[in-house]
Amino acid sequence: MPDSPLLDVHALHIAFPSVEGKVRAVDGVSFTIERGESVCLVGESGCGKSLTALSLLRLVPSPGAIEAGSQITFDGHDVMGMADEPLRAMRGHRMAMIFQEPMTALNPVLTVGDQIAEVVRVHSAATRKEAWARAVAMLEQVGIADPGARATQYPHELSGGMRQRVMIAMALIMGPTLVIADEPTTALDVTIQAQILDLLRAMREKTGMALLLITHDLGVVAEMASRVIVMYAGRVVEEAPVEALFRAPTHPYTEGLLAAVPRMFAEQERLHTIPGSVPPPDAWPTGCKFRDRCAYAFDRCALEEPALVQVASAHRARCHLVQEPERRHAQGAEAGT
Amino acid sequence: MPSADRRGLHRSVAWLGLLVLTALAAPWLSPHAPTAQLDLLTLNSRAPSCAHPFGTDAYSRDVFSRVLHGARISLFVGLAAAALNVVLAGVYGAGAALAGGGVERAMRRLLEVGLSVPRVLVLLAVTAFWDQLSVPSLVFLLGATGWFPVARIVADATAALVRQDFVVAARATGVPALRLLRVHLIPHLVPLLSVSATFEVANAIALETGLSYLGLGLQPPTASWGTILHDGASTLGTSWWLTVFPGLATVLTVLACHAMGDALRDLFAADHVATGSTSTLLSPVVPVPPASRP
Repeated sequence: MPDSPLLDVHALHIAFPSVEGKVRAVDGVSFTIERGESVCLVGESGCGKSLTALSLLRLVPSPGAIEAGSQITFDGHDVMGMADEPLRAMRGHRMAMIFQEPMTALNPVLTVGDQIAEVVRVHSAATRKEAWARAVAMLEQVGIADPGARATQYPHELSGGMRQRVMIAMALIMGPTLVIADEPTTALDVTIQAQILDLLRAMREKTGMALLLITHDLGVVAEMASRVIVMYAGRVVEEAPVEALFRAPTHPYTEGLLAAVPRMFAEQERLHTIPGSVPPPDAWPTGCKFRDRCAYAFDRCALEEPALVQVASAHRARCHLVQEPERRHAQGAEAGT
Repeated sequence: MPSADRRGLHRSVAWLGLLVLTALAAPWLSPHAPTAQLDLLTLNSRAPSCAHPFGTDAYSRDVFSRVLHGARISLFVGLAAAALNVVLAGVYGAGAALAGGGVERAMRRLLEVGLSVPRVLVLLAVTAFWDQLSVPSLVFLLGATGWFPVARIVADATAALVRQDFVVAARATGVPALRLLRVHLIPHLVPLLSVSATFEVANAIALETGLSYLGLGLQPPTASWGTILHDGASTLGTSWWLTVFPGLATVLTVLACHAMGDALRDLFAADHVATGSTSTLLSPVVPVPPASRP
């Protein structure tokens, strides 16, 4: 069905049991990803973006659980209702994940070649030799010099950038249609970061795969995304095409995020910050979850949580200001840019 | 490894190696059969001499031959019971941790019940009513009662392992459960299990000797260190050789196993540090990833 999106997430709720009952870390997240699209999921630590990513593969760590009513449809298949074996067959094959910390995400007692080859052997009838050969070929494709020798090395013998390339090789070797990259460059130096992003972009062009890139770095968003989803406190607060988001952010949180990025040619004495910090899931305020930190908060914000409303075509934001734009002035709190 | 420890390790390995060789070669090394009653009139309870280095017992059996054959039994019981122990503990512990949720909780509760019953009392009670306990039965008994503490450690280690990033990443690439266990989990549990096994060997040998000494374990005329001790118990003042030699053998073996277990544990920990790896080879504590983040 060429019209339906590759990934359709609807009303995703992920909850953790706690002393006071169930606490929702992800609260009604919905989004879609089209075939071949590059989407960035942005938010601060603790907003639920990594959990959202893990939920697509149904790998939410216990005691957390995806609540009933959440729908995840991938390539026409219902992920929530999938039996164990089709789910296992999907993971790493049609939907793959690149983890944040390549040192801890690779098994320290296996060679990198074995780990990449394992993905092949688990999803196809390839022999050990064939799988090894494919692993070496993949290492070369991700830009590792002397791949034959490197494949026999252990993770601790490689640098951070090389380990991340190994992770990318593992994720891409079976040609997935969707790759989820959970902050793939956060643990790397800036120069290596650029190389890894280039690599991801090149692989996308080559294979036509869709990419869901999770990051808190707006620079990465500008480089990689065609569409951006901004999350805050377990909710989607804004989604827009990348240029629209950078040129005309609607939600005050997005405004704040963009304002906080240091600018090279602007004269700034102090960096802009968003006051306060993300409240934990058991301490979310009533009404809009961002209101305690929002410069524009007014009375309606405490009473009613805004719904995700259309701002422009393909641009939606969860803020009362969309319907009441005249209210967009500082209420005595620190003003935005 | 400090040199004192190293010497201790060498001595332990040497002693255990000697023991294994002796046990294997016992039929050829012993001058007499262990149950052969040589000469009831003249060779009855003789002190150690050139002909009989460990003396003879009340039935004029050569104690040296008996001790050599006893080594076979002690070693077999020790190794087999430890193996059974480790297998039961490994399967139960890892199974519980992998099952997770309510099943894991239930299994851990059962484990606590097992842990709360003193092993020695159970063994005493069961062997008191068991006539003619054979070596395989004894092995089974020792193995079946001793696996609870190890199982708990394995369960904790496996639960921590499963939360490790590389296990989640392996599952994310679609590795099936059995392969996950074999390739990703068990290699990380081997150090833990092998150290536990070494200490279990020591425990099993000590328990077998103790039970047989009390008359509850293996029965005469079987020549195990415990039964020789049992024979010599009432004549300690006069036939001291019946107690000293098997007793010494037992003590040295148990000490050697402990020393080896300690050394193995140090070895695995040193390995962990030397490679700079963040693996959980021995300690189930989640490692801290290298601080490369700004």
